[in-house]
Amino acid sequence: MIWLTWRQHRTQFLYTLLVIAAVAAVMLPTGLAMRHTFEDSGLAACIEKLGTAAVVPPGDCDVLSQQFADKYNALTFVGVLFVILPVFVGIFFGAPLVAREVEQGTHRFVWTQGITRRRWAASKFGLVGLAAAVIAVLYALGVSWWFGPLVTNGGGRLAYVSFDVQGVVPIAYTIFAVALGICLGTVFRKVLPAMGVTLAAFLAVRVAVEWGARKHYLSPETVTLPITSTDQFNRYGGAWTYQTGVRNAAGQVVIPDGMVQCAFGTGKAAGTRGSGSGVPLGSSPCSSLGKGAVDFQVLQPGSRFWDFQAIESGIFVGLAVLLVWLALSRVRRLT
Amino acid sequence: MTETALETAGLGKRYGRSTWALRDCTLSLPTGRIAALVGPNGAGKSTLLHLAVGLLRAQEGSVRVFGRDPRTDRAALADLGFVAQETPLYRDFTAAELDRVGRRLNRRWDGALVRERLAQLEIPADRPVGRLSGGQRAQVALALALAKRPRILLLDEPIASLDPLARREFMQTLMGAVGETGTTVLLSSHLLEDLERACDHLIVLRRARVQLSGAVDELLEQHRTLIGPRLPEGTAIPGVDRIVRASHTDRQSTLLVRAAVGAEPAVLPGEGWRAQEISLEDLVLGYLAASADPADPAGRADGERELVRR
Repeated sequence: MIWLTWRQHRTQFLYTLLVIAAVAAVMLPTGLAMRHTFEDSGLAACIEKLGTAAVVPPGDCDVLSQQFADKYNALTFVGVLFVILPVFVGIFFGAPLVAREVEQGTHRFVWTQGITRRRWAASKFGLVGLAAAVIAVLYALGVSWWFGPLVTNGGGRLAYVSFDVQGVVPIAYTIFAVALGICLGTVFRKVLPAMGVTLAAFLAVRVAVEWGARKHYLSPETVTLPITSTDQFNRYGGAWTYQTGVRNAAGQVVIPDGMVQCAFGTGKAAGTRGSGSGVPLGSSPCSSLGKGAVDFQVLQPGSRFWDFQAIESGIFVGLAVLLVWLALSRVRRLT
Repeated sequence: MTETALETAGLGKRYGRSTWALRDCTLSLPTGRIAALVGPNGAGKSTLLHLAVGLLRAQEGSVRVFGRDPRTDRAALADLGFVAQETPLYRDFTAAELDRVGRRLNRRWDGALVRERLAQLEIPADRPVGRLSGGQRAQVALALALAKRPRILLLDEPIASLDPLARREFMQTLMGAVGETGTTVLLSSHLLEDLERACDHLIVLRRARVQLSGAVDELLEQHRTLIGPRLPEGTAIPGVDRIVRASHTDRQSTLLVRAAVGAEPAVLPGEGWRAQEISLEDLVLGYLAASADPADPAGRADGERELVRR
């Protein structure tokens, strides 16, 4: 079975390696340059010094950060492309696995040899799944390395897109995509429809989990900062911020999406951001807020990255197991 | 030794809720027979073969290959060789690679047989089988099925898409191979003429049901064509178990009859009657066109046309 599986999929496998090599050829120089700038400009050290605390003293990382962003943020869009790569593994390795056999009738040849189709299915699913997992590990390691500086300087590892291409979730997505392709191949029994529906279903599940479920994995923490403080919320701590707002002394939210910093000695707002759609404020928000008011952030701390990775991976691996089980039972009933 | 190679009892396969592809199929094929499975397209030939090789699961009844259930018993898979309709093979594989697949998927595998046959037929072993001619591809599929050293070989319309020369070559190879080994063969076709010379056992399927099943010589022995004066409908004839088919002109009746068990088949209904032996082709046509359900003249015509088209 190993040789047969290799023989049937070697072309796809070689093309995949070519794609990986091509991607690596682009990623390696840009990644190295990016890391070089990140270290040499002092941005890395500056962010390092801030640590992962939620509230930090005012620093000068922002200037360096802006310079770095100006130079490299265009590459973030390349990162977005990486988000969709796992589904291609599902489309090209998973969907044809059973569907092509049935479409071309070759299942009648291979299922009447001396091994049971259960064994055939277990071997093929296992071997192709393993190959996909190896590809995914390569991909996850490479992208995590490449994306690191951009992510640290940007929205943190928990942010949408950044989270999806780093750590272990890309491996889970890939395994899920392959299982989905295999399973839909046993349902549609034709390669093209199986591929198309795999794409659609993969996107649907990913979007549902990403925007529906992920926020609720763990209950967020709330961090506060008196409006009189000169400290700042840590932009570089890797936290996933749900909300930034202002509460008055009584605990009412007066600005649901924005923050203020007030220097009461001068009676002037040092800075305000956001729109005030809560309790109406006068032209000078500081005087109407009073001294007890705080800026607050509802967030998932960056330290929860691996917890989130584990939960999300668990969901997709669990779905993959379910799909493989379904595919096995469908293969038993295929004709 | 008359062990049973293939045995079915009340076998039924339904697609959807009410479309029966095969129903009430009870037959038994002794070892060593070369059996022709004949019937028009859609009669259930492929269904029966797929049930016998474990590709399909029956809703009713049972099928046994040398006493084993082909769906659940791996030993049954090892005993059977199958050449599916259109001889599906991995088209980008060469014959040598397919031989290698077979060797890895079967405990018993005669690779030398594949190489010898291909060399004999001058089929290149290093060319993808998708680029071979239909006849060559069928030969590769046959060689692969034979390499399993099966005890029963099942072939689903293996020659339907071949040109006449390739047909003859294929049948020659097949008969030569099974002649050496004594393998039981079940071969389906909607064309009897391809099988007539080769087969010693006959199974006729029509509209999902077995119409006739048995050794060719016994069947020919049991059946006669009786020709005589016009008979009224529904007349019983002594010694005749069943009038398979009756055709009448104003003055003459022609009856295809099956003798009752133990009766002398040449019993005549009366004065002016004569009995004729029947050819295998007439026998099959008689059963396919049989007035089993008179409400269905269209189906009858279909069966007949299908069989005589060539």
